[in-house]
Amino acid sequence: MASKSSSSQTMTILLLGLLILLAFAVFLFNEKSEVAVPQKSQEEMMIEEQGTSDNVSEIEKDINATNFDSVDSDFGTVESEVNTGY
Amino acid sequence: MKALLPALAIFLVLGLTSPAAAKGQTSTPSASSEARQKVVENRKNSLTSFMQRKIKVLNAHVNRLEKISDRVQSKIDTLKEKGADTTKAQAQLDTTKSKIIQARADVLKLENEFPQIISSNEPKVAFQILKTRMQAVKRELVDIRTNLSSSLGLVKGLSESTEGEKDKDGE
Repeated sequence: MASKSSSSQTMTILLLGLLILLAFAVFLFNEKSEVAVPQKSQEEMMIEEQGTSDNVSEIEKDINATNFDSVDSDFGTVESEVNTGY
Repeated sequence: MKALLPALAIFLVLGLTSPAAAKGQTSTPSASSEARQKVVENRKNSLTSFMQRKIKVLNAHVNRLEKISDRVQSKIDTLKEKGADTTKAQAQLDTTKSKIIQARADVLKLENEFPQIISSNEPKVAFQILKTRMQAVKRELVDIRTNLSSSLGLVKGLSESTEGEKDKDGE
């Protein structure tokens, strides 16, 4: 009788352990899914922002508004930082 | 006094060549080297963050140009449906599209290579290499914008010669 009770207790503990492991796996999976989608920064969104029309004057406006200043805008700051003496 | 002089000399020689003295002499350059290494590591880290941000900016510019080329393509398709001869405009746009593909590939190449460039060079040298590479990509982007402008110029001509397009575009 005691042996039967002990084996049922072991089963309960095993089941509980399994449930905890399962819950942990689900938590990890959800966390990974959230990280997998990187959000675009304000800067990227501003660069990509444009109209959707195929109207010639609208496209022309967006071509004229395209500038690449942000590519090398802060080169000077980084350059002076890496060139500073030790 | 004379008897003390040799003893003093021995004491001085022993003192200067003892392990403790030797340790004292080498600890200063070692500490300085460690500090220098730390500064170099910090600069490499900030250069890495800078490059990660710049790669995103470059990709955003390529995306923008690609979207504009899609809109020009849409206009060419519309004009073709109306019977306009779009051969020249299409050829010009196809050249632009291949330049966009090349620019995207060059940004990806830079993205894959910059960690190696930073880790295997002094920050100063790494920055110069990366700056040159980014300026080369920027020149490609400027060239694409010029090509898109030319494509649109051809489309504009076609659009104006096609009945109704002038009013639709508000020109």
